[in-house]
Amino acid sequence: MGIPMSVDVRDDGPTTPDLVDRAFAVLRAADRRFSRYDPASEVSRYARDEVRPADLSDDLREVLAVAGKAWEDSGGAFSVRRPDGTLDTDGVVKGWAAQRAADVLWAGGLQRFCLNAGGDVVVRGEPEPGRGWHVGIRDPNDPQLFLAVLELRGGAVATSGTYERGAHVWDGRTGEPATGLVSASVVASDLATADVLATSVLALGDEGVDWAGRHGATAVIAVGADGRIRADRAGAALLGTTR
Amino acid sequence: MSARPWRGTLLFVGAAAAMTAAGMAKFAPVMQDTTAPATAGTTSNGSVDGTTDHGTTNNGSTASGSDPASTDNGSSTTSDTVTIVGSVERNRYGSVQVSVTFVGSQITDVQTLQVPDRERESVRINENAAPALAQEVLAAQSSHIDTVSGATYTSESYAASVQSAIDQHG
Repeated sequence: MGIPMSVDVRDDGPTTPDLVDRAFAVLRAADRRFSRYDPASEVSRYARDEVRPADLSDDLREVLAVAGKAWEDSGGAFSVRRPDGTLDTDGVVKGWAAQRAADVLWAGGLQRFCLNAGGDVVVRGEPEPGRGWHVGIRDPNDPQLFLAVLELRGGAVATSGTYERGAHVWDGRTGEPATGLVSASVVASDLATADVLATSVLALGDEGVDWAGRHGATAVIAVGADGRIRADRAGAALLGTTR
Repeated sequence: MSARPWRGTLLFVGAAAAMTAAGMAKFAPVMQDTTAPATAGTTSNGSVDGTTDHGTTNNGSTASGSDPASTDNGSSTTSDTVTIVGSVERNRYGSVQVSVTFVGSQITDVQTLQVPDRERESVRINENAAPALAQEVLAAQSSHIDTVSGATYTSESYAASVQSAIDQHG
């Protein structure tokens, strides 16, 4: 098992390989710090109460803050505490780390790139003059089909779904697996936000589609267990309506 | 256009969850001429299949090799699959928008993506749209897809079939 991370950079410049190197290093560092499978990782030690709050790294502090805010915003539906009480920051870390990686590219002067971290996407600029990045939203029922195609010149798209890992997202309010939606895609200005919102929408179910729009989502496209599509403000990003 | 795009893929390999241990990087820097689409195909093979292209290291090949069949089938099939989202069509009942998926020139799927203008309410939409509308959209639009968002925490088959197709298409 693994998470594919890819970067497509359209800027022309000698610094690109070095910047991408550094961006991937950010992801690897996050991988080490937040691995639940490495007993020596900071998050594992924190989960065992071996790290005092005062000694937390800035990174872990930030991730926990993002998680805490999402917990509050979602009325407890989004939680980094699994129903059995164990700490699981995965719902925050992937998008947060990938956004940081993208920030490295941006800070280094790249202006036209697309970073895809296991299906979560950050884009900047235009791949070709005159058009934005075309981001397909995978159909939860068929990996070879797309639910929608978005055109973006900046921002992030995250998708959370039950179709790859089963009902792994739980509703923190009840402790039960979230089953109302099979997938939720969220567009937001940054991937840390989009990723947490996508997971929250899945946890909240139907009500989450509108909820996300009030908490930083610029568009939401979800598919219910009944196969129907729920969309909120998707018009602005949908390809064909931005022109 | 004289841009020289760069593409690379990092494959995290570990246990079954996000950001797991032992990430292995494999890079495929490419000096790509946009008039030579074959280059993109080579790149995506290197980044996705973990084969020998580019002389990169891929210790994760055992993991990514667990699902190779869908990989290869996926990339050839998906490279012909295009979903086009049409412009908003208005009628007396409101606005209608569809997306159409093609494999080659064959319509394989039609979805309705109705979006209420300037309203923030979610809508529930039937999956199937009128084929005539879809044809209209087809005539008006053409599109290709640069990347895919999906729930792919652990999916090698996704990475292989879809992302490689996207890269080749790119």
